[in-house]
Order: sequence, then structure tokens, then C-alpha cells
Amino acid sequence: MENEIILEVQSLKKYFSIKSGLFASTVGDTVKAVDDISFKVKKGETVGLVGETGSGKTTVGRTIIKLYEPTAGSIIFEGIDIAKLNENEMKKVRRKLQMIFQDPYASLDPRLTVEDIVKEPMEIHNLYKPNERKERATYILNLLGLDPEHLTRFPHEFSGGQRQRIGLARALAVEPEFIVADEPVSALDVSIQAQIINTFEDLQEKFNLTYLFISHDLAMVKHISNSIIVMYLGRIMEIAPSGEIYKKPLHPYTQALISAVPIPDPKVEKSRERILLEGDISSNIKLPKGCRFRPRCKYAMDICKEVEPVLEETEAGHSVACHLYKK
Amino acid sequence: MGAFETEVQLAESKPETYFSMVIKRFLKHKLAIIGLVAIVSIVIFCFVLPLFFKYESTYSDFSYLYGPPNSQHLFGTDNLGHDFFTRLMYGGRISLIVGFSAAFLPVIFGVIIGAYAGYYGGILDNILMRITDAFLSVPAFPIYMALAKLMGQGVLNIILVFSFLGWMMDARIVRGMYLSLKETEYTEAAKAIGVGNARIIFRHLLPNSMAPILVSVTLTVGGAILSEAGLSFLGLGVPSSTPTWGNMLTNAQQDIFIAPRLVMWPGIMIFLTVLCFNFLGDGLRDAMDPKLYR
Repeated sequence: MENEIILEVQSLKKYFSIKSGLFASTVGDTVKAVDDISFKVKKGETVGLVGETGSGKTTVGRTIIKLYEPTAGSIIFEGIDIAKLNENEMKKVRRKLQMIFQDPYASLDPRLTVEDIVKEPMEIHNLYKPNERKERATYILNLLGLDPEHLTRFPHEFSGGQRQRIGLARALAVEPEFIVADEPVSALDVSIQAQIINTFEDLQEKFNLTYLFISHDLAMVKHISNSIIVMYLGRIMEIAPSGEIYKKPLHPYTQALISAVPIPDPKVEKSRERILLEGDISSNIKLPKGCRFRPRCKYAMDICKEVEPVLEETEAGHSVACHLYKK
Repeated sequence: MGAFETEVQLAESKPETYFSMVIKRFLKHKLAIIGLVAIVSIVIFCFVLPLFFKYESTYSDFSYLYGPPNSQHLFGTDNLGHDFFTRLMYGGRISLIVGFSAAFLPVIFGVIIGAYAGYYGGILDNILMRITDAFLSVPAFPIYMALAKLMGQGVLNIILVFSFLGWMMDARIVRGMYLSLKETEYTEAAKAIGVGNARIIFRHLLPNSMAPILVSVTLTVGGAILSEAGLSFLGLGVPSSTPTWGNMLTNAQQDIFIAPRLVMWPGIMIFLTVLCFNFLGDGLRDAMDPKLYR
């Protein structure tokens, strides 16, 4: 595996403001969906991004592929800061940077055939000769375990798993290097989830792909990822190699998340202590002062009310944003 | 119970495309089928039948004015001795052409305005929709009359005048569709691939908003035929040298007591055509609306 860094996110912010009225003036408050996050992704790796609903993980993914315009910060992809590119300049980058969407029922145009869907990215990026595109589409479908006969069919004729494969085929059509997968299996049956995850892994090996894998399913993310980023309310709480985050979760939030993952062994399951998080995720319009996890944290200290902890490395590759680990 | 049966049926039936589904549902709609058959018959009556008929539309027999129906003249003759059956066929041509053109021309305009307003939103949406509102608040018929007077009579002018004031509802429908469709994941997926806005608007979103557009067009055809009849009836439509169902009604009004059939036949034709287009529109709406899945 190469160690070259393919994507580096630096102090990325994405705020949403509520606009309305004739002159689209800003009314009400700003939602800080992503609030100053930084991380690096190495080529050929899988980075898992976890957090509960509302933590901003999806916004991170969509901002990285510039579906949302970042409010501040930079997104350096292969040495270029794509945060500042306009849509025209971005087009070249889009070929290498693809996305898999959460809902395979909504992410395929219902009026296009599978052939149109898979060929469209090639047409847009002018890849292959027009008469070779069908062949390429057939090749990709085969690779994903779909029948070339499916080319003439419409999305509604497929099952969820098959649709997600079509979504993958669309992303792979342009030979990307980096794929942002936004909860790609959470809409699927559990039995299908494993298949799709395996497909992701096979493809990674075959094409040396890099994934940013967004999910709320820690167990699944641990299985597929090299390292894991834990987000809460738009901030990164902890970054660690995926093995380590299980063995030694530092942040109280990570500990709570991990204790929520069921263990398929009744003896262990009975004996271990469950950490239950109390209350709901705070609103990211009115953030609590100090640490944003404080209202739900059982270790909360006085300093947590005043000072927001910054992400600091405790060991090589393991960083945490918590006052408990301040040196 | 109904939902369950549908599910079982769907699971068993062979996979079908959207269009085969629409056709299947359309075929179940009896009124729509009647409407479609009637419209096709009327089109054949107006466009094909005259080719095999012995009289031209300008034919007139001055020795047989207001002639009652006989073997030579199926529906008799009018005040100028025209064969009324022939006039009815040729009149239908113009009425149908006006109806279709006045429905299809403005829809193109309406789709473009609505698509850009809905897709881009914001200020552009505001500007375009306020213009649309302004056009909607203009009383249509007096404007038709003024414009018809200004531009002169004639088939083309009538179509232009109708198109000028006929695009607003289409624009609103399309804007609404685009407002919701642009938020779909497949639109985002297209953007993520690098598909340009124009291609998203016309290749992805347009086919997905076709159903209400098509229904609106069908319903507009009937309306346009009626408006043409109205304008021609007021003497502001197509000049009476070119027969239309509307101006045939006008010409016959002073003769309503001498030869009531001269009023009756164009009236019946207009009534039938408009009614059948409305049936067809209803049927299309039911067949194409995914929410009415039965």
C-alpha cells in the first residue's frame, strides 16, 4: 500500500443559513453542520466516518465532492485545492472523485435505462469511443455481478442490492480514484449489506481505490476501514486506526458508540457494561459553550464548560479532542 | 386488502417498463379510450376524408342556397351554397390545427420558463414567476380581442395570440415539478458525476416531469378550440373565407331560424372534440400519476 496522501481536508467548515423572501436575505440562525474539521486520507486506504444522525458526516461527504460549497477551509485532492475550483474546473476532478449515495431507490434516474445510467459518466467525461462505451458498461456490470441483459431495463425493476450495484457501476464507469460512500448499505437488507461490502473490498483491491466510508454502523465500518473518524455535532472527536478504536476508545462519545455495538457472544454481552448516552444530540444552531459533548458526558469537568477541547494526538495515529487526555 | 393483492400481482407479473405500465392503466380507463377513438375519428374526418370527397371547400352552388340535405349534399348547403359537409371537414382542420398549435407552442415556452425558474430558484425564480403572475392577472379574452384586432385576422395570428397568453399554467406546473425534482438524489448523483445544468434540466428532469405536462397539453387543446370558436364567433378570429367551426357558428347565427342545422353541426363538433380531449387528459393523468397506483 502506498503512503501518498490523496485527500487532505483542512479546517473545513460548512454552515447553512436559512434564507427566504424576495431578496433571499438571511433570516434566523446559522446551522453549523461541519465546524472546522481536518483529516488526511492515504491512497488505497479506507477511512470510516462515523457519528450519529445530525453529526454532520453526510455533509462532510457532500462538501468533499462539492455538492455543497464549503463555507471555509480547503480540500486538497491530489495536490489541488478543490474547495476553490469553479464548476468548470471541477469537472476534471469529478472523474476521479465519485460518490455512492445512501438510498439506491432515489439515486438512479427512474426514466433512464441501466445502459444510459452507466454510459452517462463516460459521455460527460468523453471517455472511450462512443461505440466502445456499451462494451465498457457490460464489462463493469459483469464485474459487479450484474447481467449484461440488465442494460435495457429500468431501475425500478431491480432490488435494492442490485440498484446499489448499478450505482457503483455508474461511479466506476469513469475509473475513479476516490469514492465517497455515503451510508451505501444502510438502506439495504442485512443479508445484502455483507455482499455489497465485500464488493466494495474486491473493487478496492482491483482498482486501488480509496474510500471515505460514511456510516453510523461502527461494526461495519471497523470491518472495512483502516482508520476511523468519529464525529459529533460537526466536529471530529477522535481519529484512530480501526483496530485501536475498538481496543482503546478514548473519547467518552466513542466509548458510548462502541458499547452500543452488539457483540455476538451472550457471555461477553452479559458481562460487559453498557454506556447509555442520555439526552439527544444538541442543536447545532445553539451549540453548548465549551465542549459540545459536555451535556451528555458523564466525565464532564469544570473546564469542559469553558474551553472547547482541540484534537490532539495522544499516540501515533490516534488523536482525541477531550480534556481528559490533556497532557 | 387491495394493497396486498397489488403486491402479489406485481411480484408475479413480468418486469415492465414505465410506459407499458402507463399503457396498461390507460387501457383500463374506458372514457379515455372512447375519447382517444373519437379524436382519431375526428382527425381522420377532417384531414383524410376530404381527399376522397368531390367538393372543394370553396365550391359553391348559387342555385342551391340554404339547401336541405339531399343525396348530393349530405348536410345540405349554407347561405352561400357551400356544401356544408365539406365545410365542416375543412373547418375542423383549422380548428384542430389551432387547438394543437395553441397547446404545443406555449408549452415549449412554459416548460423553459418553469424549468429554469424551478431549477435555479432564488432571484431568477422570483423574477420569472412574478412575470408569470403578471401575465396570469391579465384578463385573457379582451387581450385576445385587442391583439387580434391589432395583428389582423388569420390562423397564424390566432395561434400566436393564444401562445402569448397560454404558457403560464405550464410554467407553473413545470416549476413546481422542478422544485421538488432538483432535490432528488439522482439529480445530486448527476451533479456529482459532472453533468452540466442544461443536461440535468432537459435529460434528467424533463422526462420525469412529462406526465403533468402532457396532461396539461391535452386539456389545453380543448380550451384553445373553444377560444378560437369564441374569437371567431365575435368576428375577430379567422376570416370567414377560411372555414373554422367557430366562424361557421358566427355565419350561421342570423340563419338560426331558417336552417338550425348550420348552427347545430359545428356546435356538436366543437362540443365532441373538447369533451373527448378532456376525457383523454383525465385518462392520461390517471394513467401517468404514480400516486394513483392501482
